[in-house]
Amino acid sequence: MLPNVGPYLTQCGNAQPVIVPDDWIIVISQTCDVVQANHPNEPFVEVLHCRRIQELRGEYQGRRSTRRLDFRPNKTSHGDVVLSAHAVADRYVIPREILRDANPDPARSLSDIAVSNLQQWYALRYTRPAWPDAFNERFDNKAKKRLSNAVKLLPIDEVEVRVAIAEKDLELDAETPYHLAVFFVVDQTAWNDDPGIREKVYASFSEFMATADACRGVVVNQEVSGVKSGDEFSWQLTRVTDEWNFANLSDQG
Amino acid sequence: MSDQTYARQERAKLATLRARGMNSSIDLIDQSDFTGRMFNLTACRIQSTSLTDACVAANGVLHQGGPLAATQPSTAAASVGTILIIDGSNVTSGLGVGLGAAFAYAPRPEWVSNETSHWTIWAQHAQKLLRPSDTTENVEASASAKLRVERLARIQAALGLPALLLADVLRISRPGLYKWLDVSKDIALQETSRERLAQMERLAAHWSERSRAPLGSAIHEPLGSGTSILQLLTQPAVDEAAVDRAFDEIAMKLKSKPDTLSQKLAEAGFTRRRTQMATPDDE
Repeated sequence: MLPNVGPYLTQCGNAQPVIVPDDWIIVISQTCDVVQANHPNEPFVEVLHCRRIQELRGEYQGRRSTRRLDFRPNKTSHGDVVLSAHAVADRYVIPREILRDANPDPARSLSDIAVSNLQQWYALRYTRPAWPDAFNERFDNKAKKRLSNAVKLLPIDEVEVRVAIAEKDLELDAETPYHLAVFFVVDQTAWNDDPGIREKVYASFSEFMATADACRGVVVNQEVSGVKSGDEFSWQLTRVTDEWNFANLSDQG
Repeated sequence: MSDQTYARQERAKLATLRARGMNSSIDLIDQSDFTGRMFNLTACRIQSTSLTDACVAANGVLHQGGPLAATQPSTAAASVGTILIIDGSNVTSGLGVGLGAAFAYAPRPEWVSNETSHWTIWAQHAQKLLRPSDTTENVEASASAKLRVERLARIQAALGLPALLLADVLRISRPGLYKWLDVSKDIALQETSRERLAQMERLAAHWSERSRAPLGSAIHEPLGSGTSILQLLTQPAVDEAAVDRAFDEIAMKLKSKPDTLSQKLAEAGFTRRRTQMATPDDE
């Protein structure tokens, strides 16, 4: 199939990229679009050209960068494979028709986790809140690492970290602090039934709060911050807060 | 040794320190402290109940100061020796300014020394305290600090109290609690605090035996005795038997409490969409 697809993998003004057998071409479009019976309704599909790299790089794994993603496509079937893709340079729109008589490589399939990872990475690029650069600069790499380690303690599916920034639209001078409220929202069932999860959450929360509050120019409002059950965290609070994401701590651009 | 003689000798030591340059004894001035605020480092000679000779380190230069009796920290009033004081006032220049708010933080016992060679100790403490840490360093948590935070997490997991109430229950200030919760802070707990912590840990375990749900807002529930668990837990001397009885009563009440909307939804088969999040190891 590659000979059919290859000619369409070009960016305006650029030469066709070299595609080697180790590369993965991943169809990104929704399945319903790919299998749409009426061809004119969905004439194109989008693909992502992923190149094999040696190992995950800290700055690109975990959706820390909205520009580039390093990920494992399938830890079970391809445990040693690590791929990397650029959010702009490696994305292509190709005619859906050329896929009509082709099947995906049966030896290569993405794990559910990898699919979700890619979906969230794409979504993040367009939905992440634009936190002020001056705010982001107050978290140096070591603070980010400490925060990241704190969040790693969490059972991912049961807890969401949300933050409210009082000066969310303002680029403040170095002397003026940003004010932050932090919420760890725990799934109601886990909150009510699982003391072990709550213990992890509280440990993570303490570490997160201590680290954030220690960042120069960041004042965490300890009074309003807290660990909340999903039942308690209201719709209103979701509107006041953003989901914490390390990609948000990068430049707005 | 009279204060005058002492001050003269200290001036000589100070001159030596100056000659060596601040950076040889203290690497960083004007750094964030453990809570992230700017500070000055103040080293004071404390004689009896007055501070008779003081030096302030600001912007990498040692400044010698005068009597500070008017602003002495009460917690160190009876000490004689050298004391390091962290100034949270965000002031970085000058003796007069720096000392004005020099006692924003209570001095820790380990900052106080009765050693004769206190300048050496001062420098050692300063190096330890002011190494480029704040947020920015991966602070190596001590085993005791980790244990303290873990114990607090267990208590919080069982009781599910907001910080303010937990501080009340532990009978410490809220800022004090935040320090307890910061694993990068080594804190020598006083005997009363240790006992209180151990007691709350016990009671939290007692609650966990009765319910998997956190105590949470039920802490305010009126009990048959006319009081509430919060009132019982915030007493200077907690009657554990009374608290246990209150736990029994509240646990019974919680069982008969109507389900929340999300519980009703879950029971009716409406469940949350699971998130297939990649873990760092998977990505």
